[in-house]
Amino acid sequence: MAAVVGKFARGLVVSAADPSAAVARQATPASPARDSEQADAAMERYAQGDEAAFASVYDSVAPRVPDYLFLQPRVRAIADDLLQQTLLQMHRKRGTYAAGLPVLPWAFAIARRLYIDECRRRKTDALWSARDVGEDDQKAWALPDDEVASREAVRLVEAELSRMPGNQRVAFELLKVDGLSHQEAAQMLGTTVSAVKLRAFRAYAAIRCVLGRPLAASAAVKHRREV
Amino acid sequence: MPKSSPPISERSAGLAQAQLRAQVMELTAREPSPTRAQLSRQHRFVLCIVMLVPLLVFMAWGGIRVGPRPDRLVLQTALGSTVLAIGVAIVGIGRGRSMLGRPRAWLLSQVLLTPVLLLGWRVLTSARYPNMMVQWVDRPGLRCFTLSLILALVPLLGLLWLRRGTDPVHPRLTAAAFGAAVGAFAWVLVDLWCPVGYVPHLLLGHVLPLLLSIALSALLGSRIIALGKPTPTLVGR
Repeated sequence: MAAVVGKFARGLVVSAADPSAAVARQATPASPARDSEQADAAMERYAQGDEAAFASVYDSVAPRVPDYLFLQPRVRAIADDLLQQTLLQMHRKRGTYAAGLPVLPWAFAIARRLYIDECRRRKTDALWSARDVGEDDQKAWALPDDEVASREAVRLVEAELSRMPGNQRVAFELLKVDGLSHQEAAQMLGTTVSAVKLRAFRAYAAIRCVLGRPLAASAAVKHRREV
Repeated sequence: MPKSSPPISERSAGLAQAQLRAQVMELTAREPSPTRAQLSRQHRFVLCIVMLVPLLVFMAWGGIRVGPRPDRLVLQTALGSTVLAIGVAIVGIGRGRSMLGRPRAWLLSQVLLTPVLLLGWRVLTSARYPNMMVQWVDRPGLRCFTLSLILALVPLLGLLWLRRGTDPVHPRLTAAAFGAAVGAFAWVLVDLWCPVGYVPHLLLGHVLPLLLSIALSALLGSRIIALGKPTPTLVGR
């Protein structure tokens, strides 16, 4: 969770300082849609019995699951284990895969469930979060002022995330951290696209408020730029 | 200018990823899993049994009993509840356009509305005919209760078995929806057999077993159709 907060807070701080950085980041061709299509096609072949297709399924799913789980390199052992368990579950249930259905939300849901089970077993969520914050900050910030600003932003956003309703927090994480489309996030959460948009909008509004950049002000800035 | 090689940490991370990939491939190769064609054969077989057993039990129990009811009432009751049961099954058993099944709100609505709609339909149709809602002193509803439970049990277990270990999101709710769907089909058969339209009888003999079927399914489902327990793997490689 702290890693999520760190990423998002850094994004806000960086985009406030240098708007072109945010634009450039958005323009980067991450192509989640193409990844998703490749995963679907590979899983379809695998469900039909093409054993070689599992390598493609692995290559489509493996890079995204640890990111989805917000895990950091220091806990690589558990990330690897969860990834492995996720893929084994998909392998065991390949016959249940129905053609044309999106694979990634399924993989993420399995990974999430396994992660939750693992956290419950170990009961060390708090410890992992603390490590994540430390690592994030050390990696991303070189200047002391930036680091202080980052820590403060992380603290504020984290506090706000912990206060907001769970459904808003999860919608925010799915869209902003993992880069799921609204459609995929809606499927993942078992709700409609409009509901996901609304929840995410409320989460952004709350976070912007807490960082002193309420939506109204941002909208005014945007309007001035356009004019 | 010579190209610099990647840092040692990156190389070792890459190596670990390659090793993990190889191990996952090895594990999957060692543990065969059914393909869609194999699974659908298995599903067809189980579904045949699941449909046949309740029908046989129903026939053994006496089959359709028009009794004192007008033919038209039997037809109306059966048709309405069959349509409802099919709708309930489509929502409850089908996965829709996602591997994660239907949204929570759909499943919850299905579970809550099924008993209400079926009871409402039965009361509505019976009320339109004279003497069809009177009390039968010797029929409090225990036989209907037993028949409903027997009819629902085998299909319920069959369905749960077919979907074992597949639901990572809301296994209990999905299973409850199965219970509602199976209970609705049992309701249709019991409706064909039972001529009593007295509301307390319907509540005890028809609604209560449907609710029990939902509860039992939710209870079992959280164990059976929830995602399987992770197997011991290669952590700490």
